[in-house]
Amino acid sequence: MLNSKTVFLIEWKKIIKRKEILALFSMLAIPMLYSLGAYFNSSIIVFNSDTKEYGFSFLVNMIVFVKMLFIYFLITALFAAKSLGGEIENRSILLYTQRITDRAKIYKAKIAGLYSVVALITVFFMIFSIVMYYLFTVKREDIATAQFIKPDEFLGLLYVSIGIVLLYFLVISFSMMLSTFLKSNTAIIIFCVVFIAFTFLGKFPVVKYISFEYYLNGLMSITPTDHTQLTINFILYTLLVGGFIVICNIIGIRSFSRRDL
Amino acid sequence: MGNKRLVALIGELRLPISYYLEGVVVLIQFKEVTKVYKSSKVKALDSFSAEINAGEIIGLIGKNGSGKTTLMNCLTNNIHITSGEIFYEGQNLMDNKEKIAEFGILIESAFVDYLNAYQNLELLLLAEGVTDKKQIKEDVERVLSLVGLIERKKDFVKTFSFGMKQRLGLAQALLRDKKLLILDEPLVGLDVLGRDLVKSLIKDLAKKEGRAVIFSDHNLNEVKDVCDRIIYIDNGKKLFDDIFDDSKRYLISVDDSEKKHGSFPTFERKGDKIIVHDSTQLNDVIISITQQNLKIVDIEVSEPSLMTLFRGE
Repeated sequence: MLNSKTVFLIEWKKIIKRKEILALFSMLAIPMLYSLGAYFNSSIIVFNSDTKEYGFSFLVNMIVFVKMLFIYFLITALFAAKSLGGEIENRSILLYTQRITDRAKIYKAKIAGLYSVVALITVFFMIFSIVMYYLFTVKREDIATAQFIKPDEFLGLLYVSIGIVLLYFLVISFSMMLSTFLKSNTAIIIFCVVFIAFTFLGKFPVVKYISFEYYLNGLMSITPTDHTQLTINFILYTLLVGGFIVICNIIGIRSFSRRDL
Repeated sequence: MGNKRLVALIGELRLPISYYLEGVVVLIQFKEVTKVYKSSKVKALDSFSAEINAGEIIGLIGKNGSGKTTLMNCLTNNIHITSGEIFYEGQNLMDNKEKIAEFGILIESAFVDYLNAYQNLELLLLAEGVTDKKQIKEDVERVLSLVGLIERKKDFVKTFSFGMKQRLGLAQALLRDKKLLILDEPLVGLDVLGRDLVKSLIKDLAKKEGRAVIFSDHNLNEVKDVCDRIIYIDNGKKLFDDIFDDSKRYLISVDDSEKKHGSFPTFERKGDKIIVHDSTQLNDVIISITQQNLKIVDIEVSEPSLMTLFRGE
């Protein structure tokens, strides 16, 4: 029986060769263009904060900026749906299900591979953003300082960045689950509808409590120094998103294991 | 008996010598296998039972949608059977799914098309638990040479022609030593040389290495050329399962045959007609009939083909 590590390695080798990765890497353009824009005093860059930017706040702002661009969630959903649904559609999944008869293992390896890729891209994005900040943005002394961290704001910003990464994981789990019983393109459309619906649910009374957007907005709007409120909000958010992730993965594994290929 | 004669006889054997010396080794046993597709309610396999022996090449024939590919997919667990059992080496296959890894499978040519030929095969070897890079290189290059794709090993599969993809599909099935090869239309899209190569490969694998092969193709002559035994499926039901005898035969119609046939107990009959398989016996049979003062109405020469079986004649 093949061990999980080898199955993960196989999936990893396939995932990193997919072209969606390049599309995800295009998010690096955001901190780069923002930093260059600030450096060259571009009129497109509007800075309207009372306090100056510092390294870590710039980094988190870039992560939030990317989150606001729905396109990267869409690419991530496409990435996840194609990596399983695409293989089911072009039948190449059969090559592996015949050799690795425990389908749950294949599903888990795909999920783990996609989480790892998104996590690695995020780490790379963070490093790149900081490099861009200190190469260009910091030169604008009217809006930026050379300081990297403000200790009292660190926790809030950390929660926001972790929260957004968790949201990407949810996108992966949800899209992949959909692709076990829908064509990958249909799965993407359903993902878009559900994701947008959940985003708007955060604006309605009562139902807002099941919307990840409600808690994520909370993390961004709570005073950064109110650590207790931030932590409660973060725990609720993590439980909600984590719960959705677990449910999606369980349904996905069951559906993939039971379906005819 | 001289050595030359013995060698010639062995050469004529249709199955490996061990088959004759040690008896038949049943590799796969289908027991009343039924598959009903939930979505369409179509019964793709209907109480299908059969045995497949080591060293045997089974030709699976049937019209489109008759259940051939479903049968192969049930064997590889791509499709879950609705009822019945499949045994592999005496063990229930569904309880020992890891054994499916012992099958070489080409059901539909499928590849990770954004990888090259080498990488595709490398990943499959990893999936079979081969992690030693030297071993992987040896195995991949061996099968690529075998199917004539060694020169294209670094080319992306998406640049391959249909025939090349078929060859690569066969390479996937032959990657490791497999006890059973399941080949669904492996000759489709191949040129004449490619077809000959694949056919001789299949024969060698069965006859020299004792592997069982389940082979399907719509070209009935190819099936007849390659296979030892034919299984004909229609609407999910097995209608024929035997060595296909396509030798010339004579069908003799005798007047008042219903009444008199009892006097020819040694003759094989099909309906009202007497069948004579060997032309040397034809005279004897005719003499026997005429000696009984019976009138021969017609003598028909029949050359059965898989097509007659296919048409249900």
